[in-house]
Amino acid sequence: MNLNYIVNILFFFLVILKLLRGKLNMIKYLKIIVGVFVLTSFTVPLFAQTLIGVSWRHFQEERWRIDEAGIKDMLAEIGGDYKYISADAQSDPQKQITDVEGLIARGISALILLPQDSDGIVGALGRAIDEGIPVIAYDIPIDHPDAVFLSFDNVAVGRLEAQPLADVHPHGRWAIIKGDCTMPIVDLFFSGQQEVINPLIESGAIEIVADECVDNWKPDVAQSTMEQILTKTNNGVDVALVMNDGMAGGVVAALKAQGMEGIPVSGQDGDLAALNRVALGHQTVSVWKNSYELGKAAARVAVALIEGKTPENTTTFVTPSGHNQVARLLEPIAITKDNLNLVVDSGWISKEKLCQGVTSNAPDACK
Amino acid sequence: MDKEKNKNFFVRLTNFLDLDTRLFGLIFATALIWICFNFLTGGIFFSPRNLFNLTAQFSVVGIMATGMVLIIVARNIDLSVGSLLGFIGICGGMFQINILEYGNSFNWLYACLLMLVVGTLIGIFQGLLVAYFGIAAFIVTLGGLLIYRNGAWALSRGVTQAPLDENFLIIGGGRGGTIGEFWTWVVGIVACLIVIFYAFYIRRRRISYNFKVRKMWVEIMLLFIWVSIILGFAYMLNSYQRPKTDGGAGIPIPFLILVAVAAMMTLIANFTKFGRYVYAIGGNPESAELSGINVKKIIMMSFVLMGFLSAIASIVVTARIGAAATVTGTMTELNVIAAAVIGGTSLAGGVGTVYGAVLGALFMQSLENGMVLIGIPTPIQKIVIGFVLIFAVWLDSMYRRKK
Repeated sequence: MNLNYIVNILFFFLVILKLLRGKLNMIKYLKIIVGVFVLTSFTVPLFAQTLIGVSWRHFQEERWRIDEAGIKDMLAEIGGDYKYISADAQSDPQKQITDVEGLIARGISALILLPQDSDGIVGALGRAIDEGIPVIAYDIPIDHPDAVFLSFDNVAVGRLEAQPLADVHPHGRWAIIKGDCTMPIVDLFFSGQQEVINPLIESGAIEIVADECVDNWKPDVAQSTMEQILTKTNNGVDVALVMNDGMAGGVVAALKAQGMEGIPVSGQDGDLAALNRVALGHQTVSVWKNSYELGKAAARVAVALIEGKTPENTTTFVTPSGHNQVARLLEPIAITKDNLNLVVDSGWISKEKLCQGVTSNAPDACK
Repeated sequence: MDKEKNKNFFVRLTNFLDLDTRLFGLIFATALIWICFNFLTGGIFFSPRNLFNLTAQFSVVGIMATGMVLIIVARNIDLSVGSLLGFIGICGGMFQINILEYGNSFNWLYACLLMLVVGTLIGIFQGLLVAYFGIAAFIVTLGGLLIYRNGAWALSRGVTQAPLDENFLIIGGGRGGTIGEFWTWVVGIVACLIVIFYAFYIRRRRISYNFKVRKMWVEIMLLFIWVSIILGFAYMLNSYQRPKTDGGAGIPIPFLILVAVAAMMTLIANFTKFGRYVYAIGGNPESAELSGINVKKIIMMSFVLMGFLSAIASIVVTARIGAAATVTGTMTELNVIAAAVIGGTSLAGGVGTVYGAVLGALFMQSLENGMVLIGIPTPIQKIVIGFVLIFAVWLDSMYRRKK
C-alpha cells in the first residue's frame, strides 16, 4: 500500500513536470496515469497462497476500516494460507470493473464485492463466476443468481426497533416516523416493525395516531413532523417508533420542548449521539449493525466457499428480478440501557462520550 | 375610467389601498389556507401552540430567503445554501465537542462566532469565484453544494455531533428558548411603533417629492390592521403555556432572530447604496456598469451576505435539533429559492422584496405544518406542495403580463 502511494506520487510529479515543459499532451498524460495505477495496483509479489480479494467501493469512509479489520482478524483466526488483498474503487464504478478484472488476473480464489453500482458490476461479477471464483455480494445485493449475499437482516432491524418499545409500553398511542419512503429499504424495515405492532393493533392494545415519512431521513424535518403530531394530539403520544437515530434526535428534541423526553423512542445505526441518548434515558433502543461482525462473517463465508462447503446459517434471498440467491443475513443487535457495555467493550464508543451528561439513574455501563 | 372598470375587484382594491398587488395576493393566499386548515383541524391550526410551532419552524428558511432575494435580484443563484447549512453546523458541533471544554459558560458564543466566520469565509470564496473569476454562479454554487455536503461528511466521517452546549441550545427555541411574556409585549409594542413611524416617514417623503399618497383614513386603517396583527400575535404567543414551565412562552428565539434579520435586510436592501446597486444591477447590468457601479464588488458582497445569513440559519437549525447531522439541510436550497420566488422575486432578476421572501417562507411552512396536522399521507402532501409552487409562479406571471 505505502509503496503504491510512493510510486504513484513520483510518477505523478514526473508527469506534471513534463506537462509543464510542454513535452506531453493531455491524452498521453491520462494514458500514463491510468497505466501507472494499473501497474502499481499489483506490485505486491505473488506467493503460493490462497488469495481472497476484496473490492471496496469507497474505502475513504471510516466505516469500512472496521469491516476490513473483521475480515483480516477472522482470516488470521482461521489460519492456513489465506491472504487478504484489496482494491479501492474510490466511488468510481468504471474503476471498480477494472479492479475486479485485476483481482481475477492476480488469481484470487474468492471475491468479496461491495458494489458502487450494483447493476453495472454484474458483467464483471459474471467473469469471476465463469473463472470458478465464488463471489460474495457484501452489504448491498447484486442481482446475479450465483452471487452469495451477505448483509444484515433489514427486516430484523425493523423488528428489533419495535420489540423493545412493545416490551416497555405495549398499549396506548403510538406515532410512527418512517424514513424516506421512496427508498425500497424502508419497506423492509417497516415490514419488520409490522410483525411486532400488527398483533397489538388488531387486539386494540395500541392506536396509531400518526404515520409519516421523512424526506431524505432529515432530522430537522422529523422534528417539525413530531411537533405537528404532538400539537394535533395535544401531547397524546405514548411511544414514538422512529426508523433511524438521526431522526430520533429530531423527535427527542421535539419531545424535550414539551418536557416529554423519556417516553419510548426507537432508532437504528448505533450513532454515538443516539447511544448517549440511550444512556440518558431519552431513547429506548438503537439497533446496531456491528460491521466488525459482518467482516468476520465475510471471511468465514469466503473460506467455506473456497473449500467447497456450504456456508453456515444461510437462507434464501430473492433478488428484484426473481433470482434465488444463497444469503447469510446477520442478526443486528438491539442496544438498550441494559447492554450498553457491548458498544463500549467493542471500542465503538468511549465510555466518556457515551455517558456525557448522565447524572441520575445511570445505566450499568456508566457506573 | 373605462380601464379602471375592466379590472377585477382585487386589482381595484389593491390600487385603492395602494398595496403591492403580488404581495397582497400572497397575503390573501396565506390567509385562505390558514382559514381552511383551521376549519379542517377543528381549531388546532390557529391555536397558540401551533402558531408557536409555525414561527419556530419557518425561521430557518426565512432567514436564508432574505439573502437569497438579493442574490436572485442581482441575476445570480445560490444552490449551495442547503449544504452550507449542514457544513457550518458540523463545524460548530465538532468545535464544541472536540475543542471547547464541556460546560464552559461562554462556549455558545465561541461556537456562534466560529460558525459566522466559516459562513462568511465561504461567502467570500464563492463571491470571488462568481464576481472576479467570472464563473457562472450556478456552477460555482452547484460545485459548492457537492463540496460542503461531502466536506461535512469528510470532517465528521458521518458521525452526528452531540450533545451540544446547553446555552447554545437556547438559541434553537427549545426549553428556555423563549423570551417570556414581558419581553414579548415589549418587542410587540416596539414593532408597532416602528411600523407607525416608518409609515409616516414614507408618507412625508412621498409628499415632499409630490408623489401620490394614500388617503389619510386609508393609511390609518391599514396601520390599525398592522398593529392589531402584531399585538394579536404577541398575545397568542403569550397565551401558549408550555408544560412544566411558568407563565406564557412568548416569542421563540429563532423567530426573534428572523425578525431582526428581516429588519436588517430590509434596511440594507432599501436604504444602503449596496442595496440599491443590487437592484440597479438586476434591472440592467450593462447600464449599471456604465453608470459607474462597481458591479463585481456588489455581486461579491451579495454572496458574502448570503454566507453570513446561512451561518445564522445554521446556528438556529443546529441549536433547534440539539445535534449537528451531516444530512441537515439536504434540498433546503430549493425551499429557500421557492420561498423567494413565491414571495415575488423574479428569477429574471431586478425584482424582489425581503418581506415578500419571508412571507413566501411562511406560506410554504404553513402548507407543510397544516397538512401534517390534518394527517394527509406524506406523498400527497408533496404532490400538493408541487402543484401550489407551480400555481403560485403561474399567478405571478399572469399579473406581470397584465401590467
